[in-house]
Amino acid sequence: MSGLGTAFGSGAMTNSIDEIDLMDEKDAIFAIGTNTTECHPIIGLKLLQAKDRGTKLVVADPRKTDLAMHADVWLRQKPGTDVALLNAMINVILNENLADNEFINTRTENFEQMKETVLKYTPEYSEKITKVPAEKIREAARIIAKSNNTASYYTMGITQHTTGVDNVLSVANIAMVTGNLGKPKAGVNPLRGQNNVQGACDMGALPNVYPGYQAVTDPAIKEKFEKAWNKPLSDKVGLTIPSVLNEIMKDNVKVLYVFGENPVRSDPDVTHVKHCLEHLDCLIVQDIFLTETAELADVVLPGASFAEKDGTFSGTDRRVQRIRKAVEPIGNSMPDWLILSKLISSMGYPSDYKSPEEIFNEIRTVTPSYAGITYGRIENEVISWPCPTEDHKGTPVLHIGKFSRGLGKFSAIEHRDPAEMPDKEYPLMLTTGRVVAHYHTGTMTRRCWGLNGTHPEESIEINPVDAANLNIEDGDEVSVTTRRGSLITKAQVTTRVPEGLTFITFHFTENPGNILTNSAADPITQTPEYKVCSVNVKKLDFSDFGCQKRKIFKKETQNAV
Amino acid sequence: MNTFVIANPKKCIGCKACEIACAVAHIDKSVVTANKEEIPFSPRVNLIRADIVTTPIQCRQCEDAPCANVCPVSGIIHQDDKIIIKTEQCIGCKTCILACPIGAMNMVHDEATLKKESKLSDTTNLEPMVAIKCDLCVGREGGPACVEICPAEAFILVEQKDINEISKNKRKANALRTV
Repeated sequence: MSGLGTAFGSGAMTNSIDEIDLMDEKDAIFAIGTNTTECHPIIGLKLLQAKDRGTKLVVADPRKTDLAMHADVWLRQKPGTDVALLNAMINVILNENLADNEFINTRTENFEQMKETVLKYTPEYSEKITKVPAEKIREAARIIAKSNNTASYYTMGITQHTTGVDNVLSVANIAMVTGNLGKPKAGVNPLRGQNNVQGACDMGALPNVYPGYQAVTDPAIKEKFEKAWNKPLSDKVGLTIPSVLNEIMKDNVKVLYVFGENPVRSDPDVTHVKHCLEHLDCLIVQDIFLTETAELADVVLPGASFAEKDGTFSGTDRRVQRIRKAVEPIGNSMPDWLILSKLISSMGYPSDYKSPEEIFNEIRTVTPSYAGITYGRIENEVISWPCPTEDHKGTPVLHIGKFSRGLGKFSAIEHRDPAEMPDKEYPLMLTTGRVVAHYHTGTMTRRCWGLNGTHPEESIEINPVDAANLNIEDGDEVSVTTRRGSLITKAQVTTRVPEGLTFITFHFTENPGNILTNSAADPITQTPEYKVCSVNVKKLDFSDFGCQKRKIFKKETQNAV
Repeated sequence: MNTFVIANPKKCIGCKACEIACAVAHIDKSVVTANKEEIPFSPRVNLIRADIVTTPIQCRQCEDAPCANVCPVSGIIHQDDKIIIKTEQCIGCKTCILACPIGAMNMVHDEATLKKESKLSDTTNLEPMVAIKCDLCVGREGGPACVEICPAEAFILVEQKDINEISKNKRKANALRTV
């Protein structure tokens, strides 16, 4: 969001998901840092269907994901080298005269500075950093530049790095250099990872903005909201999650209210997180299940699941959609809006909303991009914000004609190594991610007979060469250790990871991947570097305890994933 | 010719909805109850990731089925254009697993459609394992669950008439090419 905000003036996905269905053999898809079929299966399906109709598919991923296996060109870059890869692609596009000069000249600025930096990133230079063969870089760049329309898709694979913003700016650079913005079947498209994270951001669940990305520091905006809410408001930017944890340890934050989040599993370096939360005067957790975080709470407020409440979710392509209650909340649980409303009332501020729709209508009065959307309209219409008035059709494609900030801004970006690189003590690299069966900390999915049945336990992906060096066979129990912590799991020996790289998820309480990860973060967004840290993997030897070394065999479900 | 279900690896997204639909189709309880009672999750179609391909694998209902040929209690038979395991006869000798060239056979405890009585259960507290495989969802309204659920429409149900049609079309196309 920050990178795209800088480049284009708006941080959201520029195009819409259903444009993928219109792509044909003259178009191309560039998927970088997204295991789409695994983590966004419906979108992943559309990408494969487009490929089936002839659309070219270029995939950049260190792991041999299913998407990579289907790709026309698969760039297997070392984790943390995305800038070098992307700069080299721009280098090729400029050197082979494949750039969209008209777009660059009329719709962008700062091109010369970017070009200057990109000069040294020849494919051969980048090959040394990324380990991607120069010829493959050329092939990919040509496809992206020569197609009629190229749509870029990315997710956490490029954002969860200390260079996350740089990576996104580089993807934006390529899109601008090839004129792939402001038209359908193109654009720069981050795929958000939760059903309503777009909605949460849209509503200002960020430390620096009100709903609609209106800055808290802007005096006119401050006045508008003070009038609307009849209360004086702060003009200071608040804290991001990592800063919150730091301020807790400094005793500046004494109370924490967590809802719909499980930081003791999903934040990096969870030992540190737990330590901070235990330091609080008061921890309130609102959730649908008693998660590890909720277990530490002083007060637990039972929330309601998606099926038990009315309201709207805003999807990754800015589409606002209704959710409708199917069953009554269980026991004393309540929808989040009702809990918050009662809390606000008990603090002495009038809050007597009768329904989520009433709240939505209030949102419309202070949020220009939502002002034209109503519950009535979205019964039958597909509306993507911005939608300023009730007769406006919504905006499936952003930046047509001009960018939100006017001209698109190129950025000159240099490669920087990740914060923690392999060394003698921790000789392998670890990256983290998800599997299709589970959602984040598994609170819901590990309670589902079917989903959990297909993937009931954790394992660490390790390359056959690395495994052989460590005398590890498929199915062996191993200990996995980083500077932050340690866990035990089974080894999955597979060529899906290249030599030197291992992979684990964060879905399992018993083997929590984030006990290992590094909290080093991007300096601008403070997004942690979940995708790179250094690890030591060892075969577990029970002979110390007088037991035989043992192999763990999978249960009767014989899935050899 | 036997009917069979097969998946197209070019379409598969590896989501395992097929495994779940299959497992659900073969229990007589809801998934909520299955969860509470810790019923084993036993699909007859298995997703496999193999170096350069991801695809579900299931029984081909072979014409000269090796499993049927080797079963020492004649518990695997040809019936209604399918190869059927008569689970009540299965002694769990596992020869069928070794014989099958596809890897289509699974061994499971508690074949939910049939409660097996065995003296062994008294000591092990578990029902003896039996062989299961794709049975084309015989008796299920709507036919094979995997075909129905797959979001990528990767599965096809192939019957004798489909093979005839496919072959006829290929012959026509080839004939036109030779003119």
